[in-house]
Amino acid sequence: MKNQDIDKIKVQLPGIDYDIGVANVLGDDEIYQEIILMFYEDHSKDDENIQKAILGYDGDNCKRLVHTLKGVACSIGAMTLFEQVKLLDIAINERREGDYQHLLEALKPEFNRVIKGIEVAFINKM
Amino acid sequence: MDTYQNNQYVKLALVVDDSKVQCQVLSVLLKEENYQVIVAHNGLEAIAKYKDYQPDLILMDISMPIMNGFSATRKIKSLSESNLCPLIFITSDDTEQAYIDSIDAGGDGILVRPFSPQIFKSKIKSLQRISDLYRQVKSLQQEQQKDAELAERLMSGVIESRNFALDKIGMIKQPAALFSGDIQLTALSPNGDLNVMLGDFTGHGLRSSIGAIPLAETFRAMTRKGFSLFEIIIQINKQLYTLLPSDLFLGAAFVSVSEHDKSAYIFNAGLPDIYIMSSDGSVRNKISSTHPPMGVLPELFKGTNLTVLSVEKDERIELISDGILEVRNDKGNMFECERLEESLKKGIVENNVSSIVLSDVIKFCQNMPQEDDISLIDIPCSGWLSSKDNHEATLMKNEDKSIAHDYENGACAWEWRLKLSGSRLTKINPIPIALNQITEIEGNSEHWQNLYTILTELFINALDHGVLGLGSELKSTAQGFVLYFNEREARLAKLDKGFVDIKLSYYPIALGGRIKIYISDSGKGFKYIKSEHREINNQLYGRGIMMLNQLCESLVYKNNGSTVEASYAWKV
Repeated sequence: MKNQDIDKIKVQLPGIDYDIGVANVLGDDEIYQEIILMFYEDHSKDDENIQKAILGYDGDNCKRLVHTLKGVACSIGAMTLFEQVKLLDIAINERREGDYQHLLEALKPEFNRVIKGIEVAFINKM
Repeated sequence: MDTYQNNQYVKLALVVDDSKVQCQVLSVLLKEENYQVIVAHNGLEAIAKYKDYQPDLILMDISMPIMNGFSATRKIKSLSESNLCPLIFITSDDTEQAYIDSIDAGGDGILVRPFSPQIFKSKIKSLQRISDLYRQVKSLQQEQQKDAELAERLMSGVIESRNFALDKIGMIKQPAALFSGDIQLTALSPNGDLNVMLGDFTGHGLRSSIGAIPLAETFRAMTRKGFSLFEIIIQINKQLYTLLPSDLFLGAAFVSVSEHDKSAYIFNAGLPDIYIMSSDGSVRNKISSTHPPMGVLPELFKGTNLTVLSVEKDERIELISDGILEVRNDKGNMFECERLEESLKKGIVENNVSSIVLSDVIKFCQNMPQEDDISLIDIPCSGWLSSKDNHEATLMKNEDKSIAHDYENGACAWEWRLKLSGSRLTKINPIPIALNQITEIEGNSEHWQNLYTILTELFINALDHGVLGLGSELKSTAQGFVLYFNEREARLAKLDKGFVDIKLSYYPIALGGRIKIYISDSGKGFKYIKSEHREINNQLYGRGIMMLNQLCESLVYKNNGSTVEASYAWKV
């Protein structure tokens, strides 16, 4: 992949620190981009799924979804999203159920920004 | 370990995470470290993959569907007790509790996101180092175990498998470790007496058994050459004193049973009481230890003697090590003498002492760990000689005229002579020396056993009846035999004059040979009984001369019995 293309992608991926993310896979751009696509496939509906779990009082599932999203966000370099999901994760661990909804609402814009960016950079071009 | 360093061995890692993204990221990092990677997406799948692939490393997520990481880790660690497979929890939970729970579940480490690939690499390296060391230790341990098993097999081969009459003498041997510190030896003396030794080296395991091989060799070689039990004990004590470190010694019980004389010679140096059991299972005698264990003192105590007992054919002698008395049950109680005696009684009545005692001991201690070696030897006082061991089976064909003819014309090939005088007669047993000479010159032969019997009988007659002036009538009863032995010991202790002169002449003949024995002594002679005046009966004395007549080609007493000339001839 040409450097120019990578620079373009970097701009098109708001909310994702490309350099941090690619460093997590030892600088392999192709693998990193595969991983971003994998993230999109597996987690682009996580906001809805978490919402359902909160409304359905499905604590275990809610905890698992949030915990996984937090880890994955970190791995792809979506560090702002990581920090925001982490707040919800802490609330769940501390069983502060009253905080779940507003913390989910707080992270949604950043989540959407990351997902939209991936769509622009990769999905819409397919 | 070299295989690891040379990368010839491909390491395998199992990544367990419900997120494909995480599995992919971790796989990239692991492949960089030369791992092959397999993945599982929940705890249950992880357990199945662990069983199937036995990976070298596991990276485990905590929060997963179906089964979480903690439960999966507990199960995997329970499956890998003998194998250290490092397991690292990979989590984005940076709380103290997550760390504590990870280690409690059996994790070997935890990596908290975000972490750099360098941190990941260092973590893997440090855990792999521990794992490699573990493998190295385990491999060394396995090597050592293999060596120890080989050594144990060799030692068993040298020691136990060469024991005499294993089918007739009952034994229990339950080592506390791979190597037993207890040693059980049986050997047949050329005159048909059975020598038995039960030894208990200090402690147990390999260190305790280092003296076993030289001890067994000495016991066997000296028994085979015809040394008396007391001479064997003196030599073993000397040998162990020289050989063993100062904190290692041997508690030992020695028994020599003479079926012919219906007597037993017993010595107990540091073992529990030796039991003489009647045929109804009652305890007839107990012989306690009268001497410190073998190898403690450079010489035996002055005045140390064997205990001599007359024994009946259906009686048994039981030797035990302290391990059997000291086995404990779950309440901390020991087996002790009372239970042992009950068990021995049952065993004798049912004619199966070793099995019954062993089963009683096992029943008593249940599954309590065994602290010391457990040993017992159950010795019958008769019946260990098979027909081929009997002298009669190797009787010379003295009626063979061709042998006599050769003798008349043959030339003497060699002569050997030893004259022992005064106190030397009490200290030196000339028979093994004579047999050693014969073997040195003529090599091994099955006939030397007969020769041993003849020489022993003639020498003992010369010493006892000639030099010491003992009358054989005293031996007319089993009890008298004990008195005879004690009187003999007393006279030997005071002996300072007199002699016994032994001369051997060897004549080679076609397909065989002849040895002419000449023995004279300083005594006044004794009342020997010509064979034609004897009947085969149960008298304990006079049997010797009868046996000599059976074995020898000719046997002539002269000078009122103080000189004897015997001829032993054989054909192949």
